[in-house]
Amino acid sequence: MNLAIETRGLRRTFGEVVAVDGLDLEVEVGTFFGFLGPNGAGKSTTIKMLTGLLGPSDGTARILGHDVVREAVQAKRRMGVVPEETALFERLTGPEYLRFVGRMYGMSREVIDARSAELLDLMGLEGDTAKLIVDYSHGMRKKLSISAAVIHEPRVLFLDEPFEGIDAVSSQLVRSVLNQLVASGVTVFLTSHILEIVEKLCTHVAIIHEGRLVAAGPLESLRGGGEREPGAATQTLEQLFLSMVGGGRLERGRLSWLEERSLG
Amino acid sequence: MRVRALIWLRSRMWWHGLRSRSTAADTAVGFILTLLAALVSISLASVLSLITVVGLSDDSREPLRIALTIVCWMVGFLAVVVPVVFGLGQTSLPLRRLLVFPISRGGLYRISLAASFASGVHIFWYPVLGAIVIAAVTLADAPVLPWFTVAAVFALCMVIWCHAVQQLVQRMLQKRRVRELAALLGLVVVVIASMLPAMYQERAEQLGKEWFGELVPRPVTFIAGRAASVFPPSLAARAFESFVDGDPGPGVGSLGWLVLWAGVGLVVGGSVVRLTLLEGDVTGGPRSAAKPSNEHRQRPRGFDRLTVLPPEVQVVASKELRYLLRSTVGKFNLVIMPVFVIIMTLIVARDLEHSFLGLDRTSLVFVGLMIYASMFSNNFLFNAYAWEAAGVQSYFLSPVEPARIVLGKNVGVWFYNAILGLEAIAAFCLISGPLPVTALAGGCLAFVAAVLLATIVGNFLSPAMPVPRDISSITNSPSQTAVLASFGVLIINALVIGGCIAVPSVLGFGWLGPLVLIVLIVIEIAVYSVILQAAGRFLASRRESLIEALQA
Repeated sequence: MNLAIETRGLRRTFGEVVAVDGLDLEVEVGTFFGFLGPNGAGKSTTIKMLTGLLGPSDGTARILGHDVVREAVQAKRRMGVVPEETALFERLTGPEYLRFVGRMYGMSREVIDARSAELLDLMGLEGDTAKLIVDYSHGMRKKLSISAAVIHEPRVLFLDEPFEGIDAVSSQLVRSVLNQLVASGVTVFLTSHILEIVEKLCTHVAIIHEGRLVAAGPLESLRGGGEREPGAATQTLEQLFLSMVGGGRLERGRLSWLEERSLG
Repeated sequence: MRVRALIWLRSRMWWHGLRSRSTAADTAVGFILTLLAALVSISLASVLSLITVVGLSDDSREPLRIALTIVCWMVGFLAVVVPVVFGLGQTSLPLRRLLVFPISRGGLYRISLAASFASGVHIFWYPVLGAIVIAAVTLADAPVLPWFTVAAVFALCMVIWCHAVQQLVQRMLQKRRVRELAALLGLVVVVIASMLPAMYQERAEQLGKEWFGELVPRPVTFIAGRAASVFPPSLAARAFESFVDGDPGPGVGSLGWLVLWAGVGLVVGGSVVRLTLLEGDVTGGPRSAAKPSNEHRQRPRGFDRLTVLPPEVQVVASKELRYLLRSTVGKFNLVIMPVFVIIMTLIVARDLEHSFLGLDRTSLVFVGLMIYASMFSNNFLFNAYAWEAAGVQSYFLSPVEPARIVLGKNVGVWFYNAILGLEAIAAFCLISGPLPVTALAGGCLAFVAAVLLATIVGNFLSPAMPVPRDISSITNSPSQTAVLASFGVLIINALVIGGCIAVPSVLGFGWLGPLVLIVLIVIEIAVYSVILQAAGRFLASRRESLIEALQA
């Protein structure tokens, strides 16, 4: 099996709090992988460990066979990242930032200029090339961040909530680009709270809850699996997700003072 | 209820702020800086109280009038000008945080104004005014109730107007570009104005005149005096004075004018807040889109041509230089450097008639200036990641050895320093004419040695003590511990680098100074090269706290 991402016993603690607890994950090359979990489950911490922004407390993580701690530079050379909080230098213009990223990955100026022009055009940022990033809206920043993550042709792409704050047209564009990337053999590792998008895009999903992996595998088998009656319709990703992590909270989903008012 | 909620909020924020200062070094430095602020406040209070008491003790009323005018205008300066200029119009309680709550616009204004009474910028001068009045009533028998009343109304008036002017300035400076430009121009004007008395004295001496009035035309002083007399500090001074005279009529009249000023201040402040809120500019919503300009179309590519450096070092250096040139402090340094050199050369050269430490006047002044000029960029080296904010993650996501990131950032600052150094040399030559070769070499080498020393210290200090800063702001102070480090570097600069020039000169081998400095620079380069990898590893080890601190 050709693995793009592989973690073994990955663990991260912050003082007493265990954010990720012994994560064993395998993602095959060319997979569109959805990494799901409720707020505070450990998704962003996992992505940060995989991309080298956080060091693991224990365990190992490999990107295309390269250990993210010991072979950090080789691992990073093969990945692109869209962090949850856009990591942009705000006093550069969009093209300047793309040139910065391209040069950091050792690309030639000609290739950078050609690709950045195409990316800016695709993302609808071509009219704002003279504007500093500090003057960009949230959606524009997100689109630039996505452009920066793909400009160097990464083999593994990490996206932490990429659709947050971007409009429907841009969202469709990004989805189209991501599908094209996966078709060309790129592995996409995506976290999103918008389960409909994950369901449409991803071929494989994993669900993390309280730092532990509670489900992982091909989306279809997860949706059709579980304790279901033979012949019953497959459950949606939302149903699957809620059954895995919803717990007793769903049953308590009413506010007492509103109930009192409606009774009165 | 709302007021209690806000008081609770402020007190919790204050308490958590105290708790977050965890390191012993920061606590110690914070204590020292608080002590310094208290010392300045006590000194001001003592001097102004003394002036007032001396004025009151004199039988003639003229000294009292002058003393009270000085005191009240000084208090007015501290209460309005200092908070507005140095705080860029920022109020202690930003209204945008409260817009989500069901509070009327008038309510928002009142809450903001009430909060400003308890803000740190005013707490600094309240004791000064209080001490003056207490000294006057206890030591010089000034009437107690009238003086305390005038002081209270004057303080009220000052805080109301400070708040109104802050709101007005904030409204004017909502556009980022206007804000940066205003900060830059404002500080240049303040620095030049603060140096004018020395310049003026120089000019007066050249003209053989000794007093201000002889150089400034009388109509100008007359009109300025008349105009100033209607402002609150002059009104307060007149009120204080008239109650001492036992003739309360004019005092009550001045007090009435002060109350009127306060009322007008309330109307102005309230109107500005209402207008601003109506236009929705303080909601923190989408930023005002800057009009496309050609400003950034021209691509500075200087480093891209430096093929001796690896591409990733070039691009980090290029980014660093862009940041420096686009920051308000970076632009300010470039503007102020020649002004600073010219003014300091005129002032220092005037008082320095003879050679000192074996150095002739020109060499001594030039070397001293160049060492001082090197410190203009110390903040960029001691708190090197201050402006990166979330962008700092880009470094750690890139497939680049951290040592190369450190080197790239250093190269960017060195290039900026080279511009500053060239400016200083050009400005100095403009005043003193062509420099002797030994003086030029000594000054330039001292500059390089000082910058290298700061770079070595800064490469470890920056990741260790990161403090986020607003790139648009003119204040760019580093962390408190870095303040102490810069004192240390200043001492080393003076002792070691200055000594490399001065000791050979004292021994009669002035030509040896530059050679000793070259040896020092070679040693520094060797040390820098050896510890660059260590600095890179230290940066990588600090990445989590760095990202956390800068994103906060």
